[in-house]
Amino acid sequence: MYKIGVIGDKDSVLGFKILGLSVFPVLSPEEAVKVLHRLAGEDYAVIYITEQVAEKISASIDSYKSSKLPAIIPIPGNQGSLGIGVRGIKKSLEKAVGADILFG
Amino acid sequence: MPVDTRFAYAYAIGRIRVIEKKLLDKGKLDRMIDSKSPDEALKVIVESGYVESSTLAGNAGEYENLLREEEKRLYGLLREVTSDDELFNIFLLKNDYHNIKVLLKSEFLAIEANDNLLVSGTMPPMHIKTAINERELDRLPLYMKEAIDECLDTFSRTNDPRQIDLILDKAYFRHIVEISEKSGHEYVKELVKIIIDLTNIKTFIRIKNLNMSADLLSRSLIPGGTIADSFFTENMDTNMEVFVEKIKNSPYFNICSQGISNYVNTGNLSRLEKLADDYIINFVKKSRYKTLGIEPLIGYLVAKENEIKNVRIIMVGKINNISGDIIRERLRDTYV
Repeated sequence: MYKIGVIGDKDSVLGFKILGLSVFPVLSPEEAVKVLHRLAGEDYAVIYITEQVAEKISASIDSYKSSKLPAIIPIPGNQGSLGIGVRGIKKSLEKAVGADILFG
Repeated sequence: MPVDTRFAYAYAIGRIRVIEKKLLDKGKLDRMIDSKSPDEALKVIVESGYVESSTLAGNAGEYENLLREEEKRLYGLLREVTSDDELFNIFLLKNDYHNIKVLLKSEFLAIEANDNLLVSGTMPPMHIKTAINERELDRLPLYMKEAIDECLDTFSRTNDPRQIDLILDKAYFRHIVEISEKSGHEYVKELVKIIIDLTNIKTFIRIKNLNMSADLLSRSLIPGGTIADSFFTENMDTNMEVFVEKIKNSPYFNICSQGISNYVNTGNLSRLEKLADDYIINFVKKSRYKTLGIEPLIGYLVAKENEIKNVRIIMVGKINNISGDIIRERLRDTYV
């Protein structure tokens, strides 16, 4: 069975544990990259990553853009949203439909 | 007739008086709160004698390890200066009971959870582990044995992990009540009663708030405090304001009126938690200047546990960019 992982600073991600998601608190971008690559190689279909961390490791995240799994989804951390997640959805939408039909 | 026990702790008190001076006072805590970064806040406590391990290397995110080490040091010191006096197990047993919870739950879930075991109990965690694994519960104190038996039995019937916490919390309190009664120290007996009362008040408000059954409440209440169980169960359906009115003549009136009104207004229990901790610290503070007896020792212990809690509140706040005002609101009173 596929699993869902969450990467981010401890205080943002810990709550997901109660939902049965696998939680990976990280302290530095380097650590985040390592965890990300490890999870991508395992049975993780979806990886949530806080925008605060995602922002710093966007190159590593982009390297999975063309692969089917895992789906890497930026989520707001406890410091609020940086808009990265929404921008990503916008981009994918435009690519799939040809126009921004949700936010445009 | 017991011998004069007042001098029994003279050596320990001497030691405590020296390290007591290192406790973080309000000024130091303020410096931590006002520091620009979590790393800078961490420096304040390292300067004050918290031992920085090599893994820490100035990384504020590792502050948890630092606090864990400090806790270990505190309980180690305690055992050393009191030469394993059973009375002080009151402060250590909570770690044993924590370990039992971890071990039982990890058995039921069939996972290894050794990382979550605490070493600062009255016995090594591995001792409890083998006793549970091999079902040789007679190797453990009676209260533990009975509680574990009950957990095994209840869980096999209900599959409800919450029962494990309920059973073990109760057993823990029963255990420390017995130790305090046996010790004959009025001061300790009173402290244990206060802790039970405050725990029951918090339990009552939580269960009431969640609209859970009166049955769960009566099973969750800890016997042995100054407030009778029936006081809580009878007031299960009264509204909060009326409850506060009813508790008017108790020493806990202030905690309840402020804590509950804050809770009603904001939906947040943190104020009540803080006031409850403050009540305990102020109780031990009163006898801080006693020259002999057990009071200064217990005072230091409670003060140090309280300090570690405060440091954790500040560090979590600094790491998550919480404003100084909000951190100060949640900070417990200090002993020094």
